Amino acid sequence: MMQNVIIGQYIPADSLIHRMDPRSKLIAVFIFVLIVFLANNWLSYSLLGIFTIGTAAISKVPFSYLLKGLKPIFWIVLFTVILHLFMTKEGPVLLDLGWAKIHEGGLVKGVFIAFRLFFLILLTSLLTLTTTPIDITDGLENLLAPLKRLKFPVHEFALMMSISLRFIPTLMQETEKIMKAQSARGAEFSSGPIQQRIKAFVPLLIPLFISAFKRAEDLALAMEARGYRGGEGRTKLRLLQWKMRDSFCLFSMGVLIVALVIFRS
Amino acid sequence: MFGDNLFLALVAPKTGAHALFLHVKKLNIGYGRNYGQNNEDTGRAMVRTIAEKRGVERRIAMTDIINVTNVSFRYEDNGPNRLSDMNLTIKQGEWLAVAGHNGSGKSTLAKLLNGLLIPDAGAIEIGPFQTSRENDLWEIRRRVGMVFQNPDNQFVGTTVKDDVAFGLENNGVPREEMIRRIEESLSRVQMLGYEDQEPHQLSGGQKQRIAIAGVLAQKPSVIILDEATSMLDPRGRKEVLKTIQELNKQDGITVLSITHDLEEAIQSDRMIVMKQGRIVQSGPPREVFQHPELLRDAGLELPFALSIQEKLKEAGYELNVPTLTQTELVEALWNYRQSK
Repeated sequence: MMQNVIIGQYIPADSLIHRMDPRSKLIAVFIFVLIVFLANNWLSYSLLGIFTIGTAAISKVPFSYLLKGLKPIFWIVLFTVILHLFMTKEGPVLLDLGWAKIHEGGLVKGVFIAFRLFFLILLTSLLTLTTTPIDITDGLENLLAPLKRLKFPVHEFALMMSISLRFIPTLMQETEKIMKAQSARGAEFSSGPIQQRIKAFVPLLIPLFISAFKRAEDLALAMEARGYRGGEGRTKLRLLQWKMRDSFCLFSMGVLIVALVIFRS
Repeated sequence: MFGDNLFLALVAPKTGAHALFLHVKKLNIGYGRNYGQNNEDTGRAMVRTIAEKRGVERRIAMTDIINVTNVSFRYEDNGPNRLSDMNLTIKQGEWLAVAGHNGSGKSTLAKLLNGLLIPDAGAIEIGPFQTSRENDLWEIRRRVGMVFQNPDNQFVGTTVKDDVAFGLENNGVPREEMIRRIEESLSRVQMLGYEDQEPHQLSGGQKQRIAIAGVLAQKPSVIILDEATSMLDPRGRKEVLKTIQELNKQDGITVLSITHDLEEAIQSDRMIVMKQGRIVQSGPPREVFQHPELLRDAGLELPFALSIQEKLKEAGYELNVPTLTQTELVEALWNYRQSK
């Protein structure tokens, strides 16, 4: 089970989107999240749709993974659509159920909102599907660097993230070990009433926490022994390289903004 | 730049080395983080050349690399002394084993040597540097690399190469130099080709070798192994010890191995036995093992061959030489009747 732990949801593949600098991807997604709200008619929504589906196609991420990412929000989308159907009272009545009337405006708005949410989730999950967590961390550290002037601990934050990422598989292995040890002594984790199952996790969590603290202490000592003294004057092995394709990515985001502004009504 | 020093070293080794140290010291002034000090390598190579010139196979140089003078240390103000008035000198190129029971102060000693702890009294000198001087600390930590007990809890990077790079990044080594050194040190520990592996894909022995590579990348003069093999399986232990042996014999890196495993101590040039913060015995392993009762008194478990020898003695069969390894024991038993 532990041999192929995938942290986050990164899908390795060789595509233009994979090779892009995490910074350009982060900026693009950030811009996208904002400009999604610019669209307000069929034309502008189809523009967003073409852009999103096009990006997904270039990324070579299997379609099934994208669908999986959309699944959790399905109920939220359905709920908002229904809400709009009954609550928005614009345009001619399409259907009169007696106790409620469905207006054309409600139907259109509901569909728009659904698409908006789908596009948002699709593009943000494309970011995590095509970028390793550590690359995202590096990208964030780099982009947030100006915040250092405001005394925001950017480097410490990034280091914390990367250490957490590094220790996820280790702690998972440990959890499995403790679970086996407890099961060997008769603990039940997977059957019985819910209350008992929750209780069964206490003897699992306590040793896990204790060892996590011990690890943290050891790690801090090891880091100090290797000359760690904060982010000041530190060089980095990981290199972020801004290439033509990254500039092109931002350029196409610009084009998208202009197009949306022109086409929206 | 080092040409005349090299010449000096060949003529008068001690003065040359001294001048070289001054050089290093001069270079250090004014740089917050310095890197790429090949000076010491030059020094080490020099020692070797001199030895070869004299036609003597001398790995251990005459220069002291670590000087511990009258050091005392306690964790709490009113607590017991973990180290009491300790004196210790370690020569360059030497392999020193520090044996002792839990709580004997051996790990405390290790942490004192690279400035993770600062002595309450006395001084610790690493070459021209002193751990009590704040400005010397970073250079000391670069020169004195540490490998700890738990393979997982000292792996900082998300991948092997990130971890080896960690110390270099801390010391502000430029990226190109970093890449070169990572490759070099990974090949020294036979872990080339594992650069992009993640820690959970490696065995304990491999992780410890990566930790050694991380230390090596910093071009240290001393490696301290703080029970670095105690959590490994026999195979991992063998791998790590073999690596350390090579580094000690071929590159002349000083090794300080802290252990409660006497089998490991046998391989050292010199060993000290610690008990309650004091050195109770010191000398080449062969001499120290002449007094098994003192070892047992320090709370240590005797090596297999030695304990068999003791049992034989109790039964009335006295072997005349102390046997440390299984081979030696077999040899002694084989010759037993002949010698009677």
